[in-house]
Amino acid sequence: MSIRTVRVLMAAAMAFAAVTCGRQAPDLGIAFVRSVTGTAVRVSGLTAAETSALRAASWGAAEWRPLLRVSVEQAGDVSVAGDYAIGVDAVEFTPLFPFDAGRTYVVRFDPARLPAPRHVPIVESRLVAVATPRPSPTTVLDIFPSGNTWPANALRFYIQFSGPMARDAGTRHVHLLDAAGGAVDDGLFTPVVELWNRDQTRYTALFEPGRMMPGLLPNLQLGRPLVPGRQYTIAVDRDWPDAEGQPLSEGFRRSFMATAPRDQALNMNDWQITVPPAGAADALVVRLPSALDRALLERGLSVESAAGAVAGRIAIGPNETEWRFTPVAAWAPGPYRLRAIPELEDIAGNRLALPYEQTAASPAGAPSNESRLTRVLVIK
Amino acid sequence: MPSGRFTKRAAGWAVVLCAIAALLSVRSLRARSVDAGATLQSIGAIAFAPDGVLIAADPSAQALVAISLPPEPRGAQPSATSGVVDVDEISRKVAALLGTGVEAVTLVDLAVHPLLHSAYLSVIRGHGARARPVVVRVGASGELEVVNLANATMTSVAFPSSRGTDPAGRGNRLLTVTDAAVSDGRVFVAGVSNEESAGGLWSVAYPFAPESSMTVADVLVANRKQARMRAALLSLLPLPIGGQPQLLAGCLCSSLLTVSVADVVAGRSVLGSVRLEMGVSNVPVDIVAYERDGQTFFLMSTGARTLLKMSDFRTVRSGLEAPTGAPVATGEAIAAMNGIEQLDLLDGARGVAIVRDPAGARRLTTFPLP
Repeated sequence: MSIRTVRVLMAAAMAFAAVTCGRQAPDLGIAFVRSVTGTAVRVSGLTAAETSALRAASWGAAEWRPLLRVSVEQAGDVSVAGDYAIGVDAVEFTPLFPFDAGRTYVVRFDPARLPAPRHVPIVESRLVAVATPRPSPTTVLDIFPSGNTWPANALRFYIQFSGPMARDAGTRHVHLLDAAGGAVDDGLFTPVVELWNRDQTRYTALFEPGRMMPGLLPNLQLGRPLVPGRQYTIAVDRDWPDAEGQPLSEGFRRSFMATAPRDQALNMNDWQITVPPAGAADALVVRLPSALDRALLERGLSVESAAGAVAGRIAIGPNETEWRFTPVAAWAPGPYRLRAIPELEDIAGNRLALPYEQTAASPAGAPSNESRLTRVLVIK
Repeated sequence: MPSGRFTKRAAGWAVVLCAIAALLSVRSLRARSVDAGATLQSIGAIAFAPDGVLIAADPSAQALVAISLPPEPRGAQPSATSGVVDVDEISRKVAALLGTGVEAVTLVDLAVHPLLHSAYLSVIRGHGARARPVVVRVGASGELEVVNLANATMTSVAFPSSRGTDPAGRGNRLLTVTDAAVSDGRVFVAGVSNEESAGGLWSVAYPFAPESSMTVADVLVANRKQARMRAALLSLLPLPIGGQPQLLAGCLCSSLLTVSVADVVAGRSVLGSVRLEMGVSNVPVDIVAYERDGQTFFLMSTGARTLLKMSDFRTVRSGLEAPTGAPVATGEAIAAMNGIEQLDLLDGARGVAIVRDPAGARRLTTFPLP
């Protein structure tokens, strides 16, 4: 006889003793209660003998479920995963994850499944977790590139939202339309991977990668999705759900003209830099001959002095063609370095001294090559 | 599929590309450290090591985590002949298990335990800041169980941190791990960045040790005009070719590449040779290989949500040829599996997949290998 069997028999004996002592079992009740671990479901009205018997039975989840089952309404017979606890006159179920606000849960307690069965009807209750006020619907703040001309070999674009979005298939809600409003077939990447930032407020959409790589089959089959000289629109559907399950406050559209492919490596020497005077905390301004990738521009440039990185605030100017750096403290006179990360690139994937399509004639462009990634500035 | 002509051309390309690759740089950055007391902040792609340890990507922590799973419940393991059973409406059932609705769960990946033949799912419950990582095990009778990770031993190794400033501390740059494979004592990881135009191929010695660190290299793909472009990978399958360990890699550019394992080392370039071209929107999402009557076959799920059975491209070729010099993939479409989203081998005779029907319902299904 196993230890578990002994425990069950002991529990049954204790419950039987309680009943035969003539005690009247109280009515059973089901309610949400707050516990230290969050909201739990409590079934009250058990006798001390019944809870003692449960304690002695030392059940696992598989044995608890026939007695106390919590499930999502209209979700069939699947029980919510969670932990069971036994009190003096009650048992509690705490879900593995907090109950969803506003969702209805069905709680079913079958007294006949107690170690010493209590032959009263099954108690079933529907509980609704308290709904919290929903935040305002999420909006699309912008699409980057923000300019109205995009190179025909643009690899991607970013959709910036005002709040977290649901982890949903983005390209079901994002469309590339031609000038007539028709969808550009196979223009955007089928979302077998979803590229979000950490808080799901920014979605990266890719143009079909195979079509963007000259000489590979998809490019030879259909060419690039964007044709220079033609007008296109990125349309974001209103029904894209946010993290609260709400649709966007409204759809969003961004039209642009496709221009000639951009296939030249970036060169820091082409950048126009306005160096502020010493003693002031004015912004150092870098004006770019063509737009850089918004995300990389936000993190890809920094200013260093002999003492190390200069603390300051970065702002991106119109159409991602301007980078402004305002120091926390006034500039001291002396030499500085504007430093770029090797990954800094434009929206077509061209990097400093390294075009997206590299040929044998391209500079080797070792990422560690200091000269191509820095520019010396002198503040007087 | 491959022929002598193809082999010569591929060999020629390999020589050219190797020479080019030698000129190109490779990032080889040191991971921060190994954390022997790790917990999961989030979960992405999963794969099993041969010893039954679950390898999981943790996108929020930008780490790879080795999870020694707690023992499976007694009697719950499938036998060699039973294996995973079909589970209809698996998204809805997983959601119900996690106490929520189907709209709040994401089935991220599927992997089969190599020793116990149980299916495991990596799942995200919720969205945004409330998203939580979950591992769900599918039992022998199709019952679903949340794996208690509190009882699991986890060791993580960090991906090299992204370069540059992040003044707002928002962690906008995020690597999405798309696949992982363990071969010859190393874990290889494919991933796609949500910013720069590169994925990468990461590798780290396995089992993770205190001195373990992750290396990463750009993968390049070349066309016939000798233009070389950075490629992002979706799937990895260790595969020996000519007695040399290789990785068969599904590329976001709708091609199948091979990468020499010997090249995936710190300070060296990683070169992808185009082996098969799949055509528009037909990216290789999952690839498995199996033997039948002494011949190797591949099953490949694609971005078009189809399942293709292909003969071994190393020995057979189609009459078609893509301009890269690689053959255009042809294969037998398995119509019954249309809508496939996840694929793994259950054993030598069966596969397991998650298939989404036109109405949007997903089912976990066990099928005989064709």
